[in-house]
Amino acid sequence: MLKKFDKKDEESGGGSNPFQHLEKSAVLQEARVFNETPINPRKCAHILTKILYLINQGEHLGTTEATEAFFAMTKLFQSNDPTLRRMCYLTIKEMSCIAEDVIIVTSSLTKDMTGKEDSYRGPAVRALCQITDSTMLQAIERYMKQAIVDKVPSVSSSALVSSLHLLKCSFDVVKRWVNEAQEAASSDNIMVQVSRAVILKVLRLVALSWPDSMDSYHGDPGGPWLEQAFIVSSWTSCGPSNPSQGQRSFPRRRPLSVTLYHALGLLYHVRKNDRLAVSKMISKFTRHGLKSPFAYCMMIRVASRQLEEEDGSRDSPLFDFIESCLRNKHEMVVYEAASAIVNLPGCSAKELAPAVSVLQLFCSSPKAALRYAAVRTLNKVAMKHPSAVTACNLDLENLVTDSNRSIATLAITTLLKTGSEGSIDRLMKQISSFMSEISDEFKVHSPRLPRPRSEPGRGFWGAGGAEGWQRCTRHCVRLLSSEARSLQAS
Amino acid sequence: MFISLQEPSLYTVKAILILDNDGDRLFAKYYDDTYPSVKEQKAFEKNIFNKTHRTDSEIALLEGLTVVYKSSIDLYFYVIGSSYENELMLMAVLNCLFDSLSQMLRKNVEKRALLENMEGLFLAVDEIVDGGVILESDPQQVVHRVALRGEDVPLTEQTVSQVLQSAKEQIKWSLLR
Repeated sequence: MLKKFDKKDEESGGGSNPFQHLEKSAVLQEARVFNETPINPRKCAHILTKILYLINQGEHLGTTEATEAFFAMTKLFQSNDPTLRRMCYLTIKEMSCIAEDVIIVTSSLTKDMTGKEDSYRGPAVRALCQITDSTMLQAIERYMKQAIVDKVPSVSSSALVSSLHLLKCSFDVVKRWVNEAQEAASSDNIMVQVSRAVILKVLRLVALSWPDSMDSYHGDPGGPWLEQAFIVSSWTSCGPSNPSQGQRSFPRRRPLSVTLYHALGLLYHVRKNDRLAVSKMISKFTRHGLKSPFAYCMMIRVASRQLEEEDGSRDSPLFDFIESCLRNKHEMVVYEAASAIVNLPGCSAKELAPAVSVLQLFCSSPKAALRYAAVRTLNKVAMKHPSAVTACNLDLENLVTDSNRSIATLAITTLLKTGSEGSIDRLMKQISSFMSEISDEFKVHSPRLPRPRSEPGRGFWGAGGAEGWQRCTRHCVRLLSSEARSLQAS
Repeated sequence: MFISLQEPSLYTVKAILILDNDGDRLFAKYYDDTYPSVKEQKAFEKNIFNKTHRTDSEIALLEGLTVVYKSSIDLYFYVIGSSYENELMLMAVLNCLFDSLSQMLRKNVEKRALLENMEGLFLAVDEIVDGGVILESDPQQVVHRVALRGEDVPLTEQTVSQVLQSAKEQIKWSLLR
């Protein structure tokens, strides 16, 4: 567990906020204690925390003072205290852009990422990649390749995500990883099969920056490598309990759910020629099942991107996959699927129906985020296919009085597109009470809203009659639409 | 015309923020340059605080961004994403952060406890999101990886005063439990 400050710190820190009166130069002065031996880990960790806090608050550190503090911090690698080491990694990351010559810690970091202490390895990888520029990347390449295929999920994930960040500056090195990864993929060595899963991830990195490179892998004799890698990636998502036995056993440890999520990023970049391969991927996936809702979401995005590019029929297994996700046990996935379907161009009302009914259900969820997501998406549908949303009118009417204003406003703007005259009547009644709560700038500057009358032949707007009703409606629509537009503007 | 699907990407989170009761920043990590300067960042923080701290709700669309938020006693937690982002993914990040901290602070998720455990906070966020990519969503995993154990140095390597100091700490902790 985390330790509280010792008594000395409490006395010097003081007050309800130990960081309240921190002064940059004083804190940086304190950093000189890093040079002392023996190193007091807790004291030093606390000073690092103060430095990070200052940077976090937006305090500007000049290059010289940052570099001095950074160099002092490097002395702390002599200590084996885990907390202190972790704080060093964070400091390295935070200062990587403001201090000079930060690459001096490269060897310490490569040592840590290949060391015995698993809790250091992931963070060390991430810190290393933060300080590395394209000139240095070659030097650490072999460490990165090892880390990507590492059995420890946190190490593998860290390496993958870091590689993704590095893609922006170092495409050539990634290309090299791909070639070697493909060699490994064609090996039958059972130990290597574990790394096939990550090949998928590495390939993604190439595809991200150089989509045309994927063409060279079509018709390759190692060819169904994508498929193989894919199957193994789903196998690996269960996690072999003992790969050296060469047996596939099923999960005794937690699946590498997030790492698999990263892998799937690859699929959307596979070009048209590979459409068949992607369809096969998806069918294999659905057979094996994905553990991670994030992986499903990425899968849905990839599949819908493919569908959009195909510009074709809804008979495609890709569409079937997305549609099947509407019945997934994770709400995140269900919503992603519904959202993907309604965003597909050229969907008929019939195709939209299952997605819309799912969104309709979400409208009555106790979770505000779900209601918001649903009504935002229904609003989009209503722009093109108002008739498809009519079935949800009652649920949307309930949302008009939602305590969350974003939800309420979106519900109103949707209803104004989809409502029948009767429902608009009801809507106007609700708006009148809603209006009293919102700020003056949105109030209707027309005759004061009359209370409903029961006289026959007169509408809700009483004396104004039908004309007055229309005037008020138009005015409301204008005001609410502009409010909704400002909410939706992005 | 339907908006063409955004390019599938792992970059999900634009920012993670923790504000206090007055809307002042306790912690902020911005993962892209939506708000490049500190001044713009603080203006944004003030704005979302004003719009959210009085409500019970957990989600809003502010300044063209999806903001999911949660409050506890005197702290306000925010995760920010683009308006196209899957809101439930952002909620997953928020819940992971909150639940991890809740465990680390022994359910005492309030300002003073947080300030006394800033190391833990920095490390937890580092384990959850890296450069805008969701790294981990399971609070158990996060807590496990952040597990800070400072007392594993063997006794023989510590000086007498260090041993006495750790003994004092142990006693203090056991009394506080």
